Amino acid sequence: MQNTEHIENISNDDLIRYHLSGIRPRRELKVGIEVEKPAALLSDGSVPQFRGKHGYQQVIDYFVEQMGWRVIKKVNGHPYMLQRGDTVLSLEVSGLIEFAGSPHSNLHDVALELDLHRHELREVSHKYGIRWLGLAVHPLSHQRDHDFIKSERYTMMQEVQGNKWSEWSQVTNSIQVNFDYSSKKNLEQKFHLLTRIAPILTAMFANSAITLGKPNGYASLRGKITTESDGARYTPPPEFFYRNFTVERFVEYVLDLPMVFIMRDEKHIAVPQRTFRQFLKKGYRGHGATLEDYKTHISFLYADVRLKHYIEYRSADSLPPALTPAVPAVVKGLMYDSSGWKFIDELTKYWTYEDYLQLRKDTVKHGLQAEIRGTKVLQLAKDVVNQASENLRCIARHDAEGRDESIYLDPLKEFVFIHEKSPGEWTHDRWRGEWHGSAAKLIDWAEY
Amino acid sequence: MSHTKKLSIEDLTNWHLTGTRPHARLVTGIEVEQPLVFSESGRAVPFYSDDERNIDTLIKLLIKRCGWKLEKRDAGYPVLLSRGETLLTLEVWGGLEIVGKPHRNLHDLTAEYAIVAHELGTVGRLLGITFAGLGIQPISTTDQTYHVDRPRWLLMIDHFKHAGSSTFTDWNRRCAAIQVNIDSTGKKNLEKKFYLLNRIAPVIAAMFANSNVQHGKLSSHASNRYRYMQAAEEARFNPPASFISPDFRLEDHAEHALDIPMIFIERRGKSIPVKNKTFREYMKGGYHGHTARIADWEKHLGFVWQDVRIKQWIEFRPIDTVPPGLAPAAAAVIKGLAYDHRGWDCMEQLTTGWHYREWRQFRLDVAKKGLAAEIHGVTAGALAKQVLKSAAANLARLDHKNPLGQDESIYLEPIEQLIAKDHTPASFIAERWRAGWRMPELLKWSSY
Repeated sequence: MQNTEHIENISNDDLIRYHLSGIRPRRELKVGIEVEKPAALLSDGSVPQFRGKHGYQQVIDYFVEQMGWRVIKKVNGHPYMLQRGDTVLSLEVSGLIEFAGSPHSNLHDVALELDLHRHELREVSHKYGIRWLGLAVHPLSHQRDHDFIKSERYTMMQEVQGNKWSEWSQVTNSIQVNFDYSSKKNLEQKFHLLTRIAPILTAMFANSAITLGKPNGYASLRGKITTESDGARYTPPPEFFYRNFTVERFVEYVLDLPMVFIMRDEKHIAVPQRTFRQFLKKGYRGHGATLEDYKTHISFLYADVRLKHYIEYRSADSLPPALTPAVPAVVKGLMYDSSGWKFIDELTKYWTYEDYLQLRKDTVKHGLQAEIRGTKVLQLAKDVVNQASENLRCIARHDAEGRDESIYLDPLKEFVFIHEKSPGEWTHDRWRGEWHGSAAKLIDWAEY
Repeated sequence: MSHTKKLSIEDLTNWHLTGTRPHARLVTGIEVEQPLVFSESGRAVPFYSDDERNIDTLIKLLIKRCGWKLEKRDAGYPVLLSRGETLLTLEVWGGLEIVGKPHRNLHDLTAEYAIVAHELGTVGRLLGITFAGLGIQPISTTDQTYHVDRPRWLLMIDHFKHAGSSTFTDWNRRCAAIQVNIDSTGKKNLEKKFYLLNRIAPVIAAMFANSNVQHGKLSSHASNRYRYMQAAEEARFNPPASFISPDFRLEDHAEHALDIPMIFIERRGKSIPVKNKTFREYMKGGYHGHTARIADWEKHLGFVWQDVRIKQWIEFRPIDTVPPGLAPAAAAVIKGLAYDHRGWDCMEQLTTGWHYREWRQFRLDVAKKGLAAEIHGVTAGALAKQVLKSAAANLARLDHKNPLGQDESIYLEPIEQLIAKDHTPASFIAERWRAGWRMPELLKWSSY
C-alpha cells in the first residue's frame, strides 16, 4: 500500500497540503472517538496477560472466530488489528484492546457504536475471567505487571523513546476525540482554542487517583505521567497556544522533533539522532522522505491536541462507559459552533503561556480544585459544560426519541454540578470514605 | 442425481440418530423469536415501508454496523444472516429469529444470546423499534402484520386455507417462542428424554406463559400462543398418545409424521408444491417423478409443530418468548431436567399416573390458567416448583462453572423468583395491567 503513496522529495508544502486535505464542507463535519482502557481479572482484580487461559488473546480469537471481526493486520503471526464494519480494534503495547470508532455526523451514533463494543467486550471477556475498567490507570498494578508485546514496532519505540514512554504507553489509558474542520482558518482556530482549554477538560475528566491499591496524590495520574514525559513530544509548545497559530507553524514544530523510525516494505528502520527536517533535506541511508514517513513521525508527537487530516483531542482520562460519550460531547459542543470559540477565547483571554503550563500541572494534581489567576477550575468547568450543552441543544441532532446530543453531558453534569468534583477526586473521597479502601468497589463502579 | 433405492422408515430413524453423541459432548442451544413493534405504539413493524422504520432497514444496519453477513436471499428477502456460528433467520411476518450456536455450557449460551439481544435492542432503538420479549404481538391483529411472500410460505398458507384453520394464521403470524435444542447419547436415551419432556411440557409451558396481552387488551388466556397451537390442526400440533408413553420408540415419531400431508419439496433451490399426499404415500410412490429423500423428510418435519420434535437433536418448543433476562432460564430448565438421570426421575415421578386424555386437558387448561391449571388435583404451580428444584440441583451437580465460580443454576434464578411468588410472566403482567400498566410499561418491561 505505502508504495503507491511514495512521493520522493516531498516538500513542506506537501505536508501542509496533507493537513488541509481533510477540509470538508460544514454539513459533512464528523466526530469519532478512540478509547483505551485497562483490564482486570475477575478473580482478584490483577492485570491479565496477553497469552494464557485468562489472556486478552482469548478474547481477540473469539472476536475473530465468532463475532464477525476480520483481521486486517498481524504482528508475529497474531491478530493485531481487527475491523468490523467501520469499527477498528487494535492491540496496545500491553495487549489491551483499543477501540477506534468510526466518525459520525451525530453523537447518538458515536455512543451507539461504543455501547455495542462495550457490551460485546464485556460478555466475551467474562467468559475468560476478564473485565474492563473505565479508568485511566489500573488501580492495583505496577508497570512491571503489564505485559509487553514484543513487536518490532514497540521494541523500537521503547529503545528510542526510553522508559518514560514505556510507562506512559503501558500504564495510562485515555479517550481521544477526532473531529474535522471546514477551512484552513477554521482548523487553526479550533486547534489553538482547544489546546488552550484542554487543561480544563483534563481536570473535569480526571479519573486516575488510585494506583497500587491506594490514593496516589493526583486526580489524574495519567496526566501527571504525560506532563512529566519528554517535553517536546508531550507538552504543547507556545506556537500551539497562541492566537497566531497556523498549520505552517505546526509543521515547523513537528519537523524539529527527533525521528523514531520509518517503514520500508513493512519493515521498521530506526532513524536515530535525526529530526524530520534533516531527513527531509538529506534522506537517510538512501531513503528519501515520503508522506507516509511524515504520518508515522506525527504519531510520535503526543501533545494534548494533534493535527493529522483531522484534529485529535487527547488529554482526557479513560472513563466508565456511561461517562465516555461526555468527552466527544464537550469537544463537539465547543468546537462545532462558533459561540464555543468565542467562549474559549474570552475565558482564556488573559492567560499567558506560563499560566497555562502551570495550570496543566495543577489540574493533574488537584483536578477541579486547581486555580488559575485566582479562579477555581471548577467554576470554569461549569461554564464549559453549560456552553457545550447549550451549543449541542442548538445543533439539534435528535435521536429516535427526540433527544438532542446534550443528553451525553448529563452524567458529567452530575460530577461537575452536584459532586463538584472530577471522577478522580470523587473516587479518591469514596476510597477514603464509604469504600473503605476497597479496590473491588472501585472496579465495580468503573466496569464496562 | 437418481435415487433408485426407496427410503425406508429405518432410513428415517437412522438419520435422526446421526446426531447422537457421547455424554461428554452433549450441547444445548436456543432459538428465540420475538415480536418487533414500534416503540411508541406497540404496533407490528412491517418488513418494508415508505420511511426508514422497517425491518429491511434494521437488517441493513445489522450488516453495516455489527458485522452480520447476508447468507441467503429468497424472493428478494434476506432470509438468513450469519456471524460466526450465530444465525438470524427471517420469520413469516418479517421478524428475526435468533438461532444460537449449541454450547457445552449455559454460560457461553447466555453470553452469545445476551450479545445478540443487546445488539438487536440497541440497533432497534435507532429506528424507534422495540424487540419485545413477549409470546405474541401485543396490539396488531393478524391482518395488520406483514406477510413475507416467500414461495414456501405461500404454499404453507395455501395448505392451511384449505385446511380451514384461522388459528393457524394467528399462531403463525403473531406468536413468538423460545426453542431449546438438546442432544442424546443414543436411541434409548433419546426415546426416554423425548417422552418425558413431552409429559412435562405443559408444566414448562405454564411456567413461561407470556402471551396474555393481545389486541391491546388483557386476554383470558395466560398463553394465547399455546392455545392457538393446540387449535390449529390436530396432527401437526398435538402429540399423539404414543409420545407420552413409557413405551415410546423413535419409530412412533416417524410413523406419526409419515401420515401428515406434505406441503412442498425442494429441488435445485425451487419449492415444488406437493398436494394431497402424506409423506408415507410419497415415500411409496414418489411425486411427479421425484422420489423421497432425507432432505425432504427434514423439510416435512419443519411443518410438524409438536411441543417436542426430533430432528438430529431434540427440539423443545412449548415456551413463550420471555424478556431477555428470563430467556436463558428456558434453556436452564430443560438442560437441568434432560442432562441428568435425577431430572428424568423427577419428570417420571411428577407425571406418574397421568393418562393421555387428562394430559390433553391439562395442556388446554395450562394455556388458559397458567400455573393454576390442575391435573390429578395438583396445580401446575406446585409441579413447577418441583421441576425447578430438580433442575437447580442437577445443574449444580453438572458443575460447569464460570470464571466467578458460579454453576449453571444461576440462570434459573429469574424464573425461580417469579414462580416462588406463584407468578408466571403472564400473571405478573395481568396483575400490573389491572393496576394501570398499559403498552409503554409492558414494552419497557419486556424490551431487549
